[in-house]
Amino acid sequence: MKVSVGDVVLPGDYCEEISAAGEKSKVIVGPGLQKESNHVYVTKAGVLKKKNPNTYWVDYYQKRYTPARGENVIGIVIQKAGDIYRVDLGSSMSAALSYLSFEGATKKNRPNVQIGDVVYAKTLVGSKDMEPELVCVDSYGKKGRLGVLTDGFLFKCSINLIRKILNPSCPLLDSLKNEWPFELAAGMNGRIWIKAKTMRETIALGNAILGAEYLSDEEIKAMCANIASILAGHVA
Amino acid sequence: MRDVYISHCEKDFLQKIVTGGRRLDGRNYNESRKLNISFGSEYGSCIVSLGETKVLSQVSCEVVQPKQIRPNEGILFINLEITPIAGQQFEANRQTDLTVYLNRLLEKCYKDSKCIDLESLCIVVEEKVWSLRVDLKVLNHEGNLIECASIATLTSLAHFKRPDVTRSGDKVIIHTLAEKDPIPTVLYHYPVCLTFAIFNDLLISDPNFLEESVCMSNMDEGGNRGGILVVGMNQYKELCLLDLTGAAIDNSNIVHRALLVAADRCKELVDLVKSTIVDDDTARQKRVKKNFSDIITTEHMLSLNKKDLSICLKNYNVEDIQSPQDEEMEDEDVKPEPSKYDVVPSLPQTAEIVAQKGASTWIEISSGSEED
Repeated sequence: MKVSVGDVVLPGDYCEEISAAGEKSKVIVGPGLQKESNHVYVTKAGVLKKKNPNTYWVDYYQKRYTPARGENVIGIVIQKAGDIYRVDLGSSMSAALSYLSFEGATKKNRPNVQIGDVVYAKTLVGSKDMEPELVCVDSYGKKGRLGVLTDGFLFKCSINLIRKILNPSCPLLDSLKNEWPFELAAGMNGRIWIKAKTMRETIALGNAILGAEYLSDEEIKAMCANIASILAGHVA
Repeated sequence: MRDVYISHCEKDFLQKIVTGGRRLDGRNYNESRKLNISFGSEYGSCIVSLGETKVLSQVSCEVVQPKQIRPNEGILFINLEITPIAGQQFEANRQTDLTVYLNRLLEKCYKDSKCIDLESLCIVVEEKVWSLRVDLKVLNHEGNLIECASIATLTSLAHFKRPDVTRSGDKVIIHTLAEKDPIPTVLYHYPVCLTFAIFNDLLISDPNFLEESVCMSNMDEGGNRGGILVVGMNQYKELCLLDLTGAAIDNSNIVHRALLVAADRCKELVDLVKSTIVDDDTARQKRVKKNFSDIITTEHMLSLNKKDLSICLKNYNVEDIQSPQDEEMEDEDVKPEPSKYDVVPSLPQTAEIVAQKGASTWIEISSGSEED
């Protein structure tokens, strides 16, 4: 079926708008779209979106992660094998994280990472079918925010929710940060690590994040206020 | 089946929170998740959801030759399958330890407890008997599969009706539903399996996936700190099945406590199952069309915004949140108030707490605040 931007689309639909735009200038075809002979076909069920000038993609609901290059992800170390750690990202394959891709690590000076630890890392190599490769340093060899995450709590959520809370226009984190202090790391693989002073605050934080998934901006603000009042004990 | 990895921080946090007297999703120790039973268009098909754990069940029947040793008894066969739809750790068409274990438990609970009158399934002795087959498909695995699966088995067995037969000489006529009213299955008693997770000395009913996994890993690490206890009981508080692992084996105290909790819960569950079946029957008699599409109502589509969050405060209630109508509230949010904790981005997409001066006085929680 022929569809246009903003429609709910299903796999097999095609969009002539994209092909037409492609004749005039270069077009970026994002996730959920595939070029096949003379049409651009939809391969996922979702909403067709466009960003000016010429970027198209399908916004679809997904829980399973397909690795992509340059994304910040949270993984669990599951094995030490030779000179790499195996890290579970929730994708089809476990990822490889070299001993040497930590800040200040050398062959002699190995980082202290145990099996079962949670690492916040960046994907260096990531594609649908290949083993992803992770690093915990940037291109200058600095760790920045990456590395092992200690304490706190890790939970899973849909990938859409991650995108939603990381969106600069989303009021969730802005509202929460005024209520109580916390640390948070959001991995694009659908995992969120949170840490607050007390367990109750940590749970409240997780509650607020998970609860925000299907709420509008206004509702999110109301929910944050509600949770904060529960936390403060105003609501019996 | 691929392994599910649980990180140290999840384990430690859960461990701490349970010993602290709470649960991750805000339930009490003895509280179960929300149970929902919906029926399909045919007799004996239902979907049972316990929180986010969902099991589809279908009973079918056929005429077969009875077993040599039991010539006047029908046959009951229970088959549970877990496919990748239930969770990404499962593989298609492969028997895992989990499926074998669950099948065995269900068989113990429903076949060995003799809850079904198998003799009533006999048509001609040594020649023809009804064979009932219960097919269970796990649609989503969020912990406590056995409880969900057992409720599904019980509901679909109790809901099922087999076609009526008449014998004339050597001939056996199986009547269609239009010709003669179908016959319900005879159940002597209604057994249900319940799961308890054991943390040190604490008993937790209806554990979710994380609680279950942490319990299992505690058990694997040795020591008698964790374990899973499965109790099968009927509405008369008679024990039908007991499956002990880990700490439950050498601590009879825990088992006794679990049995007391299970007795009440089983009664409750069986009453619920019976009443939903009665409701469904009266609806069917009024020729109300029923099928699984009823599950997909507008409310249900919106219920994608899960009512049971996996991480939840005790007093949190989705209905409490309404879009702010009064402008006062909005002002409050929009104004960049001077916050107690200045959170400034030090790197792109990160934030850091810079000032944490003194003890905070405006959140009173540290005093072990148990709300009721």
